[in-house]
Amino acid sequence: MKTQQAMIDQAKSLLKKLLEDGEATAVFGLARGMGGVTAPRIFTMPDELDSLVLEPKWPLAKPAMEILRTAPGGYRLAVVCRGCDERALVELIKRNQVDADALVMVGVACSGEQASICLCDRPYPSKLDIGEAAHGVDPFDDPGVKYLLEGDTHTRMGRWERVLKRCVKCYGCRNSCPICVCDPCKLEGEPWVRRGIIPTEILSFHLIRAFHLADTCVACGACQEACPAGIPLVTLQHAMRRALREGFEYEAGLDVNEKTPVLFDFIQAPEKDRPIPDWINTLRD
Amino acid sequence: MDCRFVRTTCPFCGTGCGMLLKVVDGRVVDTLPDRESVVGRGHLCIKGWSAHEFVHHPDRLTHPLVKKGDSFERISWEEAISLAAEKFRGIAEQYGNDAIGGFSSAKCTNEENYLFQKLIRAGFQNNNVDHCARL
Ligand code: SF4
Ligand code: SF4
Ligand code: SF4
Ligand code: SF4
Repeated sequence: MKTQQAMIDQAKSLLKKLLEDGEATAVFGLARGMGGVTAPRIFTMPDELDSLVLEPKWPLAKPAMEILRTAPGGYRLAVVCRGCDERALVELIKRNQVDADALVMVGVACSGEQASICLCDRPYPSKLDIGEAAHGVDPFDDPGVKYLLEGDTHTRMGRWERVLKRCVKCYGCRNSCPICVCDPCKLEGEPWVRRGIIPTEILSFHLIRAFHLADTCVACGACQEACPAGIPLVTLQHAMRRALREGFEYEAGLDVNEKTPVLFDFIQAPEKDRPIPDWINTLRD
Repeated sequence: MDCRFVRTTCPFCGTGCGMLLKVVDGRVVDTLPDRESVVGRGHLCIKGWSAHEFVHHPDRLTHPLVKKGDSFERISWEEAISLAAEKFRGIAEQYGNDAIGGFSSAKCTNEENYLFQKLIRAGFQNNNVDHCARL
């Protein structure tokens, strides 16, 4: 396993070269600044990369997309991507939110420790430039995830209501999620969610978000990490992702050319001879 | 395009969550939670998330206004401060010092709040000072 410093050195020289060769107009990554505090930074000069760091985890896909949205023509952004950043950007390319030609993804491996914190089953990008891939973690082995996903409908509903009740309707989950990009957002008005009223409609607010992201969530954890109420939001998404995997053999973020089965399976399914997935019936018990 | 993330503190309440303002070509365009902040630890409430919106808002008050009839007219800072002083002095002379009080704001800095209570205690000579977070 490479040391953190070796990984940083390798990233610096690789990214410097991208800037020097004109492969990228700018690099988007993390910098250690005053007082040793880390924050996202856009590096435009090779020398600025001396302050580059790779830790701590800081989801960069959404801010990268937003930078590219306002960038002038011909701008190319190199983004330091963890596995989930890469997968989120792949989903954004699929949805025409990011122009693949304006993006250079530089893949960085996460540590095994980070994978256990995130409950991540793929703690590395498909194009790994820096570091070595660590082993993934099966989120369904986690006791917290089990607690919320196991048991009959009534038990699960009671448990979910208890945690979702803590929501302060800050919209942090929506704002942080790299794939939450709809405008207007369904969580901002009638008939589903009333503005300015707290607590929010527990089921419509959270389940609309879960379903809107069902086929595109990459389990990056940004929503959960932004939640001031400590709601285990990714657990809902784990369940959705598992359903997609079991029902359609599909996982979001892996391949820019693979279309979501939720929209396209009626075209693809007949030739694949697939029955209606079991999980569609789980709410009946 | 010059784009930077500037670390600051949320101005909306006494909690003081850490935030990063996204500044593009000198204009504040977005807010992100500061994951390194020991206070917010990467969390913001809805006020913090929207904190950039007032900065360049066209409805923002950027100079003093005085109400004349049904409309507001722009006046200079000098005139505004003299007018306020004159009115406060008039009230104090007519009804006594206790007729004046002040409500400060959790949106101000510590230093501004210090100066505010000093104005009430040393200037108006009473203890009628409080702040919006107790309302
Ligand atoms: S979700 Fe996976 S890829 Fe993303 S930071 Fe966590 S471990 Fe890394
Ligand atoms: S884990 Fe949360 S923030 Fe990340 S893609 Fe899924 S819903 Fe969005
Ligand atoms: S981040 Fe948490 S508290 Fe805020 S709206 Fe989402 S679930 Fe509710
Ligand atoms: S984000 Fe909310 S809780 Fe935090 S300082 Fe701002 S107003 Fe207060």
